[in-house]
Amino acid sequence: MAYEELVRAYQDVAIRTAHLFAPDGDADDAVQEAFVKAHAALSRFRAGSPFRPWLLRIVANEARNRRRSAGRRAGLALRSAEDRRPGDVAPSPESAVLAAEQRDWLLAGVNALRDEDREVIAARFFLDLSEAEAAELLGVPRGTAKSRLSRALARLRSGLAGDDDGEVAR
Amino acid sequence: MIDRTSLARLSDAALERGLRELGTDLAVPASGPGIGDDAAARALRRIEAGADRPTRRLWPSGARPVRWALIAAVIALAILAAIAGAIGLGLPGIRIVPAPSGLPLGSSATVAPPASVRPGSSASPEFTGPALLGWNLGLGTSVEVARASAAVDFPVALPAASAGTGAPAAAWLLDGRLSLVWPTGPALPATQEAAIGLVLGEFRGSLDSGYFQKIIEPGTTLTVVTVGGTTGYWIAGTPHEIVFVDPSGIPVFDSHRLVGNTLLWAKGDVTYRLESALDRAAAIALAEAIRPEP
Repeated sequence: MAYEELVRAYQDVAIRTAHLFAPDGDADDAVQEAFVKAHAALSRFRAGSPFRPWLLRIVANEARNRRRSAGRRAGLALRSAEDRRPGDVAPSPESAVLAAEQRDWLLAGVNALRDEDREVIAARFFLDLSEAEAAELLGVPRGTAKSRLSRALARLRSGLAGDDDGEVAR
Repeated sequence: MIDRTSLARLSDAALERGLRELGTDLAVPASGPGIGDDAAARALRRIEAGADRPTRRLWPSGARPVRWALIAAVIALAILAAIAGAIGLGLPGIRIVPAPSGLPLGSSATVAPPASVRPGSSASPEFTGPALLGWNLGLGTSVEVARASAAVDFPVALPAASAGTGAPAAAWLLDGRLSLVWPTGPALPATQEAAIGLVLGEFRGSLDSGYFQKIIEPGTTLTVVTVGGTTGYWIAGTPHEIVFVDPSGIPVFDSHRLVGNTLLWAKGDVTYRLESALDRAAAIALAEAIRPEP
Protein backbone atom coordinates (compact mmCIF):
# COMPACT_ATOMS: atom_id res chain seq x y z
CA MET A 1 0.00 0.00 0.00
CA ALA A 2 1.25 3.41 -0.89
CA TYR A 3 0.86 4.85 2.58
CA GLU A 4 3.38 2.33 3.85
CA GLU A 5 5.93 3.81 1.49
CA LEU A 6 5.22 7.29 2.82
CA VAL A 7 5.58 6.04 6.37
CA ARG A 8 8.92 4.45 5.62
CA ALA A 9 10.13 7.55 3.84
CA TYR A 10 9.32 9.84 6.73
CA GLN A 11 9.72 7.66 9.81
CA ASP A 12 13.22 8.86 10.64
CA VAL A 13 12.50 12.56 10.42
CA ALA A 14 9.29 11.95 12.36
CA ILE A 15 11.19 10.35 15.23
CA ARG A 16 13.70 13.18 15.24
CA THR A 17 10.92 15.72 15.34
CA ALA A 18 9.30 13.98 18.29
CA HIS A 19 12.61 13.98 20.18
CA LEU A 20 13.20 17.65 19.45
CA PHE A 21 9.74 18.84 20.38
CA ALA A 22 9.38 16.78 23.53
CA PRO A 23 12.78 15.46 24.64
CA ASP A 24 11.23 13.81 27.64
CA GLY A 25 8.19 12.39 25.90
CA ASP A 26 7.70 8.98 24.36
CA ALA A 27 8.89 9.57 20.81
CA ASP A 28 8.04 6.13 19.46
CA ASP A 29 4.56 6.30 20.85
CA ALA A 30 4.01 9.81 19.50
CA VAL A 31 5.19 8.84 16.03
CA GLN A 32 3.03 5.75 15.95
CA GLU A 33 -0.04 7.75 16.89
CA ALA A 34 0.85 10.51 14.43
CA PHE A 35 1.09 8.10 11.49
CA VAL A 36 -2.28 6.59 12.36
CA LYS A 37 -3.87 10.03 12.69
CA ALA A 38 -2.27 11.31 9.50
CA HIS A 39 -3.65 8.33 7.62
CA ALA A 40 -7.13 9.00 8.94
CA ALA A 41 -6.77 12.67 8.03
CA LEU A 42 -5.36 12.21 4.53
CA SER A 43 -8.62 13.33 3.01
CA ARG A 44 -8.17 16.69 4.72
CA PHE A 45 -4.72 17.14 3.30
CA ARG A 46 -4.75 19.99 0.84
CA ALA A 47 -3.43 18.98 -2.56
CA GLY A 48 -0.45 21.01 -3.60
CA SER A 49 0.68 21.85 -0.08
CA PRO A 50 3.84 20.26 1.23
CA PHE A 51 3.33 16.90 2.89
CA ARG A 52 6.35 16.89 5.18
CA PRO A 53 5.50 19.86 7.43
CA TRP A 54 1.87 18.73 7.54
CA LEU A 55 2.94 15.34 8.86
CA LEU A 56 5.55 16.77 11.22
CA ARG A 57 2.98 19.13 12.70
CA ILE A 58 0.88 16.12 13.69
CA VAL A 59 4.00 14.45 15.10
CA ALA A 60 4.96 17.55 17.09
CA ASN A 61 1.48 17.82 18.56
CA GLU A 62 1.49 14.17 19.55
CA ALA A 63 4.94 14.54 21.08
CA ARG A 64 3.89 17.59 23.09
CA ASN A 65 0.88 15.67 24.36
CA ARG A 66 3.25 13.05 25.69
CA ARG A 67 5.62 15.45 27.37
CA ARG A 68 6.09 14.26 30.89
CA SER A 69 4.86 17.12 32.95
CA ALA A 70 6.08 16.06 36.37
CA GLY A 71 9.34 17.51 37.56
CA ARG A 72 12.00 19.31 35.63
CA ARG A 73 11.81 19.28 31.88
CA ALA A 74 14.55 17.32 30.20
CA GLY A 75 16.71 19.22 27.72
CA LEU A 76 18.25 18.12 24.48
CA ALA A 77 21.54 16.29 24.85
CA LEU A 78 24.72 16.32 22.82
CA ARG A 79 26.13 13.25 21.20
CA SER A 80 29.74 12.51 22.06
CA ALA A 81 32.31 12.67 19.30
CA GLU A 82 33.04 8.94 19.39
CA ASP A 83 29.47 8.20 18.33
CA ARG A 84 30.19 9.74 14.99
CA ARG A 85 30.80 7.66 11.95
CA PRO A 86 32.43 8.38 8.61
CA GLY A 87 30.22 10.25 6.20
CA ASP A 88 28.45 12.21 8.87
CA VAL A 89 27.55 15.76 8.08
CA ALA A 90 29.78 16.77 10.97
CA PRO A 91 31.88 19.72 10.00
CA SER A 92 35.57 19.11 9.65
CA PRO A 93 37.57 20.84 12.38
CA GLU A 94 38.87 23.51 10.06
CA SER A 95 35.43 24.40 8.68
CA ALA A 96 33.51 24.18 11.94
CA VAL A 97 32.10 27.41 13.28
CA LEU A 98 32.13 26.22 16.85
CA ALA A 99 34.67 24.62 19.13
CA ALA A 100 33.39 21.68 21.15
CA GLU A 101 33.15 23.81 24.25
CA GLN A 102 31.16 26.45 22.43
CA ARG A 103 28.76 23.81 21.22
CA ASP A 104 28.05 22.87 24.82
CA TRP A 105 27.36 26.48 25.69
CA LEU A 106 25.17 26.97 22.66
CA LEU A 107 23.17 23.88 23.60
CA ALA A 108 22.79 25.10 27.16
CA GLY A 109 21.56 28.40 25.75
CA VAL A 110 19.00 26.65 23.56
CA ASN A 111 17.84 24.46 26.44
CA ALA A 112 17.36 27.53 28.62
CA LEU A 113 14.91 29.04 26.13
CA ARG A 114 11.16 28.85 26.56
CA ASP A 115 9.42 26.14 24.52
CA GLU A 116 8.14 28.51 21.86
CA ASP A 117 11.64 29.82 21.15
CA ARG A 118 13.28 26.41 21.22
CA GLU A 119 10.69 24.97 18.86
CA VAL A 120 11.18 27.56 16.14
CA ILE A 121 14.96 27.12 16.36
CA ALA A 122 14.57 23.34 16.23
CA ALA A 123 12.30 23.55 13.18
CA ARG A 124 14.60 25.86 11.22
CA PHE A 125 18.04 24.59 12.19
CA PHE A 126 17.77 21.13 13.72
CA LEU A 127 15.21 19.86 11.21
CA ASP A 128 16.57 22.07 8.43
CA LEU A 129 13.13 23.19 7.30
CA SER A 130 12.54 26.23 5.14
CA GLU A 131 10.84 29.25 6.64
CA ALA A 132 7.53 28.28 5.01
CA GLU A 133 7.79 24.68 6.19
CA ALA A 134 8.68 25.73 9.71
CA ALA A 135 5.61 27.97 9.80
CA GLU A 136 3.42 25.09 8.66
CA LEU A 137 4.95 22.77 11.24
CA LEU A 138 4.40 25.32 14.01
CA GLY A 139 0.90 26.08 12.77
CA VAL A 140 1.46 29.82 12.46
CA PRO A 141 1.54 32.27 9.54
CA ARG A 142 4.87 32.62 7.82
CA GLY A 143 5.40 36.17 9.08
CA THR A 144 4.80 35.02 12.64
CA ALA A 145 7.34 32.23 12.28
CA LYS A 146 9.85 34.72 10.95
CA SER A 147 9.42 37.21 13.78
CA ARG A 148 9.31 34.41 16.32
CA LEU A 149 12.64 33.13 15.02
CA SER A 150 14.29 36.52 15.19
CA ARG A 151 13.06 37.03 18.76
CA ALA A 152 14.22 33.54 19.71
CA LEU A 153 17.67 34.22 18.30
CA ALA A 154 17.81 37.55 20.12
CA ARG A 155 16.92 35.87 23.40
CA LEU A 156 19.48 33.14 22.70
CA ARG A 157 22.17 35.79 22.15
CA SER A 158 21.11 37.62 25.23
CA GLY A 159 21.29 34.45 27.31
CA LEU A 160 24.72 33.64 25.91
CA ALA A 161 25.92 37.12 26.72
CA GLY A 162 24.96 36.48 30.31
CA ASP A 163 22.03 38.88 30.54
CA ASP A 164 19.68 37.75 33.29
CA ASP A 165 17.79 34.68 32.06
CA GLY A 166 17.82 35.39 28.41
CA GLU A 167 15.01 37.90 28.33
CA VAL A 168 15.29 40.79 25.96
CA ALA A 169 13.01 43.61 25.03
CA ARG A 170 10.61 42.47 22.40
CA MET B 1 40.07 33.44 22.57
CA ILE B 2 37.03 31.34 23.22
CA ASP B 3 34.56 32.29 25.82
CA ARG B 4 30.85 32.02 26.23
CA THR B 5 30.04 35.60 25.44
CA SER B 6 31.92 35.36 22.12
CA LEU B 7 29.01 33.25 20.93
CA ALA B 8 26.66 36.13 21.53
CA ARG B 9 28.79 38.28 19.25
CA LEU B 10 28.69 35.91 16.28
CA SER B 11 27.16 37.31 13.11
CA ASP B 12 23.63 36.14 12.33
CA ALA B 13 24.95 33.87 9.60
CA ALA B 14 27.60 32.36 11.87
CA LEU B 15 25.14 31.82 14.70
CA GLU B 16 22.73 30.10 12.33
CA ARG B 17 25.52 27.95 10.97
CA GLY B 18 26.54 27.12 14.52
CA LEU B 19 22.99 26.06 15.32
CA ARG B 20 22.92 23.80 12.26
CA GLU B 21 26.20 22.27 13.43
CA LEU B 22 24.74 21.77 16.86
CA GLY B 23 21.76 20.06 15.25
CA THR B 24 24.01 17.38 13.75
CA ASP B 25 25.47 16.74 17.20
CA LEU B 26 22.24 16.28 19.08
CA ALA B 27 21.70 12.89 20.64
CA VAL B 28 18.40 12.42 18.90
CA PRO B 29 17.99 9.83 16.17
CA ALA B 30 18.80 11.44 12.87
CA SER B 31 18.99 8.79 10.22
CA GLY B 32 19.65 5.20 9.48
CA PRO B 33 17.72 1.99 9.14
CA GLY B 34 15.62 1.01 12.04
CA ILE B 35 15.23 4.25 13.95
CA GLY B 36 11.53 4.59 13.41
CA ASP B 37 10.86 1.01 12.38
CA ASP B 38 9.10 0.07 15.53
CA ALA B 39 6.76 3.04 15.62
CA ALA B 40 6.14 2.84 11.88
CA ALA B 41 5.45 -0.89 11.95
CA ARG B 42 3.04 -0.54 14.85
CA ALA B 43 1.24 2.32 13.12
CA LEU B 44 0.91 0.31 9.91
CA ARG B 45 -0.40 -2.71 11.81
CA ARG B 46 -3.00 -0.54 13.48
CA ILE B 47 -4.05 0.99 10.17
CA GLU B 48 -4.14 -2.44 8.53
CA ALA B 49 -6.29 -3.70 11.39
CA GLY B 50 -8.72 -0.88 10.78
CA ALA B 51 -7.87 1.09 13.87
CA ASP B 52 -8.90 4.26 12.11
CA ARG B 53 -10.58 3.20 8.91
CA PRO B 54 -10.13 0.55 6.22
CA THR B 55 -7.08 1.27 4.15
CA ARG B 56 -8.08 -0.25 0.87
CA ARG B 57 -11.54 1.09 0.41
CA LEU B 58 -11.69 3.25 -2.66
CA TRP B 59 -14.76 5.21 -1.68
CA PRO B 60 -14.81 5.54 2.09
CA SER B 61 -18.32 6.00 3.39
CA GLY B 62 -17.23 9.18 5.11
CA ALA B 63 -15.54 10.55 2.03
CA ARG B 64 -15.60 14.28 1.92
CA PRO B 65 -16.22 16.21 -1.23
CA VAL B 66 -12.61 17.31 -1.32
CA ARG B 67 -11.54 13.70 -1.54
CA TRP B 68 -13.79 13.15 -4.53
CA ALA B 69 -12.28 16.22 -6.11
CA LEU B 70 -8.80 14.87 -5.54
CA ILE B 71 -9.67 11.53 -7.01
CA ALA B 72 -11.22 13.21 -10.02
CA ALA B 73 -8.10 15.33 -10.47
CA VAL B 74 -5.87 12.30 -10.28
CA ILE B 75 -7.99 10.42 -12.78
CA ALA B 76 -7.82 13.39 -15.13
CA LEU B 77 -4.07 13.44 -14.81
CA ALA B 78 -3.89 9.72 -15.42
CA ILE B 79 -5.78 10.18 -18.65
CA LEU B 80 -3.47 12.98 -19.69
CA ALA B 81 -0.53 10.79 -18.83
CA ALA B 82 -1.86 8.02 -21.00
CA ILE B 83 -2.25 10.44 -23.88
CA ALA B 84 1.29 11.64 -23.41
CA GLY B 85 2.50 8.06 -23.31
CA ALA B 86 0.79 7.50 -26.63
CA ILE B 87 2.61 10.39 -28.19
CA GLY B 88 5.87 9.12 -26.83
CA LEU B 89 6.89 11.85 -24.45
CA GLY B 90 8.69 10.18 -21.61
CA LEU B 91 11.39 7.97 -20.20
CA PRO B 92 11.23 4.48 -18.81
CA GLY B 93 9.04 4.78 -15.77
CA ILE B 94 8.21 8.40 -16.33
CA ARG B 95 5.80 10.09 -18.61
CA ILE B 96 5.58 13.82 -18.80
CA VAL B 97 2.47 15.53 -20.06
CA PRO B 98 1.08 19.03 -20.26
CA ALA B 99 -0.71 20.15 -17.13
CA PRO B 100 -4.49 20.28 -17.05
CA SER B 101 -5.86 23.58 -18.23
CA GLY B 102 -5.85 26.17 -15.50
CA LEU B 103 -2.19 25.86 -14.75
CA PRO B 104 -0.03 28.35 -16.63
CA LEU B 105 2.60 25.80 -17.41
CA GLY B 106 3.42 22.37 -16.25
CA SER B 107 3.15 18.72 -16.83
CA SER B 108 2.73 15.49 -15.03
CA ALA B 109 4.80 12.41 -15.24
CA THR B 110 4.08 8.86 -14.31
CA VAL B 111 6.63 6.72 -12.65
CA ALA B 112 6.19 3.02 -12.38
CA PRO B 113 6.51 1.29 -9.05
CA PRO B 114 10.14 0.69 -8.35
CA ALA B 115 11.93 -2.49 -9.18
CA SER B 116 12.27 -4.94 -6.36
CA VAL B 117 15.29 -4.80 -4.18
CA ARG B 118 17.63 -7.72 -4.25
CA PRO B 119 17.00 -10.02 -1.36
CA GLY B 120 19.59 -9.94 1.37
CA SER B 121 20.85 -6.56 0.33
CA SER B 122 19.45 -4.55 3.17
CA ALA B 123 21.32 -1.66 4.63
CA SER B 124 23.57 -1.94 7.62
CA PRO B 125 21.62 -2.80 10.74
CA GLU B 126 23.01 -0.32 13.22
CA PHE B 127 21.60 3.13 13.67
CA THR B 128 24.16 5.13 15.44
CA GLY B 129 24.82 8.07 13.28
CA PRO B 130 24.06 11.68 13.61
CA ALA B 131 22.65 13.22 10.49
CA LEU B 132 23.84 11.67 7.27
CA LEU B 133 23.66 13.98 4.31
CA GLY B 134 20.11 14.04 2.96
CA TRP B 135 18.57 12.49 6.06
CA ASN B 136 15.62 14.88 6.08
CA LEU B 137 14.65 14.55 2.44
CA GLY B 138 12.46 11.47 2.75
CA LEU B 139 14.78 9.43 0.54
CA GLY B 140 14.27 6.19 2.44
CA THR B 141 16.75 4.36 4.62
CA SER B 142 20.48 4.82 4.46
CA VAL B 143 22.72 2.27 2.85
CA GLU B 144 26.50 2.38 2.87
CA VAL B 145 27.74 4.04 -0.29
CA ALA B 146 30.14 1.17 -0.92
CA ARG B 147 27.26 -1.30 -0.76
CA ALA B 148 24.83 0.68 -2.86
CA SER B 149 25.51 -1.37 -5.99
CA ALA B 150 24.69 -4.56 -4.12
CA ALA B 151 21.38 -3.12 -2.99
CA VAL B 152 19.82 -2.54 -6.40
CA ASP B 153 19.34 -4.73 -9.44
CA PHE B 154 20.93 -2.38 -11.96
CA PRO B 155 24.49 -1.09 -12.31
CA VAL B 156 24.96 2.06 -10.23
CA ALA B 157 26.23 4.97 -12.29
CA LEU B 158 28.53 7.64 -10.90
CA PRO B 159 30.12 10.79 -12.32
CA ALA B 160 33.56 10.27 -13.84
CA ALA B 161 36.47 11.65 -11.82
CA SER B 162 36.85 14.42 -14.38
CA ALA B 163 33.52 15.87 -13.30
CA GLY B 164 35.16 16.88 -10.02
CA THR B 165 32.25 15.92 -7.80
CA GLY B 166 34.20 13.47 -5.68
CA ALA B 167 32.40 10.54 -4.06
CA PRO B 168 28.87 10.67 -2.69
CA ALA B 169 28.64 11.18 1.07
CA ALA B 170 25.48 9.18 1.57
CA ALA B 171 23.22 6.73 -0.22
CA TRP B 172 19.54 6.13 0.42
CA LEU B 173 17.24 3.40 -0.70
CA LEU B 174 13.47 3.38 -1.01
CA ASP B 175 11.89 0.41 -2.74
CA GLY B 176 14.67 -0.06 -5.24
CA ARG B 177 15.08 3.62 -5.91
CA LEU B 178 18.59 4.71 -5.07
CA SER B 179 19.45 8.28 -4.12
CA LEU B 180 23.07 9.34 -3.85
CA VAL B 181 23.86 12.61 -2.09
CA TRP B 182 26.96 14.77 -2.51
CA PRO B 183 28.04 17.65 -0.31
CA THR B 184 28.71 21.04 -1.79
CA GLY B 185 32.12 21.52 -3.36
CA PRO B 186 34.02 23.41 -6.04
CA ALA B 187 32.03 21.65 -8.77
CA LEU B 188 28.76 21.59 -6.83
CA PRO B 189 27.34 24.88 -5.51
CA ALA B 190 24.97 24.83 -2.54
CA THR B 191 21.37 23.93 -3.30
CA GLN B 192 18.32 24.96 -1.31
CA GLU B 193 19.75 22.63 1.32
CA ALA B 194 22.93 24.43 2.29
CA ALA B 195 25.06 21.32 2.84
CA ILE B 196 23.93 19.49 -0.29
CA GLY B 197 25.45 19.99 -3.72
CA LEU B 198 23.87 17.15 -5.66
CA VAL B 199 21.22 14.47 -5.34
CA LEU B 200 21.41 11.76 -8.00
CA GLY B 201 18.47 9.38 -8.17
CA GLU B 202 18.61 6.11 -10.08
CA PHE B 203 15.85 3.58 -10.55
CA ARG B 204 14.65 0.98 -12.96
CA GLY B 205 11.45 2.12 -14.52
CA SER B 206 8.74 0.26 -16.29
CA LEU B 207 5.38 1.27 -17.57
CA ASP B 208 3.32 -1.80 -17.06
CA SER B 209 1.84 -1.55 -13.58
CA GLY B 210 0.79 1.35 -11.44
CA TYR B 211 2.33 4.75 -11.59
CA PHE B 212 3.25 7.89 -9.85
CA GLN B 213 2.02 11.27 -10.86
CA LYS B 214 4.41 14.12 -10.83
CA ILE B 215 2.63 17.41 -11.01
CA ILE B 216 4.58 20.40 -12.06
CA GLU B 217 3.21 23.56 -10.57
CA PRO B 218 2.89 27.06 -11.92
CA GLY B 219 6.29 28.68 -11.84
CA THR B 220 8.00 25.54 -12.99
CA THR B 221 9.39 25.26 -16.50
CA LEU B 222 9.94 22.09 -18.45
CA THR B 223 12.40 21.97 -21.34
CA VAL B 224 13.18 19.04 -23.61
CA VAL B 225 16.95 18.63 -23.84
CA THR B 226 19.48 16.18 -25.22
CA VAL B 227 21.65 14.23 -22.81
CA GLY B 228 24.34 12.10 -24.41
CA GLY B 229 22.34 11.84 -27.60
CA THR B 230 19.06 10.86 -25.95
CA THR B 231 16.06 12.85 -24.87
CA GLY B 232 16.00 14.30 -21.40
CA TYR B 233 13.93 16.81 -19.48
CA TRP B 234 15.09 19.89 -17.63
CA ILE B 235 12.71 20.99 -14.88
CA ALA B 236 13.50 24.33 -13.30
CA GLY B 237 11.81 26.80 -11.01
CA THR B 238 9.38 26.18 -8.17
CA PRO B 239 9.79 22.88 -6.36
CA HIS B 240 6.87 20.61 -7.07
CA GLU B 241 4.70 18.10 -5.37
CA ILE B 242 4.34 14.47 -6.23
CA VAL B 243 1.06 12.65 -6.02
CA PHE B 244 1.13 8.92 -6.33
CA VAL B 245 -1.70 6.51 -6.61
CA ASP B 246 -1.61 3.10 -5.07
CA PRO B 247 -2.80 0.04 -6.98
CA SER B 248 -6.28 0.34 -5.49
CA GLY B 249 -6.58 3.91 -6.64
CA ILE B 250 -5.96 5.80 -3.43
CA PRO B 251 -4.11 9.02 -4.11
CA VAL B 252 -1.28 9.71 -1.73
CA PHE B 253 0.60 12.95 -1.49
CA ASP B 254 4.30 13.02 -1.26
CA SER B 255 6.58 15.96 -1.20
CA HIS B 256 10.01 14.76 -1.96
CA ARG B 257 11.65 18.00 -1.29
CA LEU B 258 13.47 19.24 -4.29
CA VAL B 259 16.74 20.86 -3.47
CA GLY B 260 17.23 22.44 -6.85
CA ASN B 261 16.62 22.13 -10.55
CA THR B 262 16.13 18.67 -11.95
CA LEU B 263 17.42 16.90 -15.03
CA LEU B 264 15.77 13.62 -16.03
CA TRP B 265 17.15 11.19 -18.56
CA ALA B 266 17.47 7.46 -19.11
CA LYS B 267 19.90 4.86 -20.30
CA GLY B 268 18.36 1.55 -21.21
CA ASP B 269 15.61 0.95 -18.69
CA VAL B 270 17.27 2.89 -15.90
CA THR B 271 16.05 6.41 -15.28
CA TYR B 272 18.30 9.03 -13.73
CA ARG B 273 17.28 12.12 -11.86
CA LEU B 274 19.89 14.76 -11.15
CA GLU B 275 19.05 17.56 -8.77
CA SER B 276 21.45 20.42 -8.13
CA ALA B 277 21.97 24.16 -8.24
CA LEU B 278 23.82 23.83 -11.54
CA ASP B 279 22.54 25.63 -14.60
CA ARG B 280 21.17 23.67 -17.53
CA ALA B 281 24.40 23.38 -19.51
CA ALA B 282 26.44 22.36 -16.46
CA ALA B 283 23.80 19.83 -15.36
CA ILE B 284 23.77 18.24 -18.82
CA ALA B 285 27.58 18.15 -18.88
CA LEU B 286 27.58 16.42 -15.51
CA ALA B 287 24.86 13.99 -16.63
CA GLU B 288 26.94 13.06 -19.66
CA ALA B 289 29.87 12.26 -17.35
CA ILE B 290 27.76 9.82 -15.33
CA ARG B 291 28.46 6.24 -16.28
CA PRO B 292 27.76 2.85 -14.77
CA GLU B 293 30.55 1.64 -12.56
CA PRO B 294 32.75 -1.01 -14.17
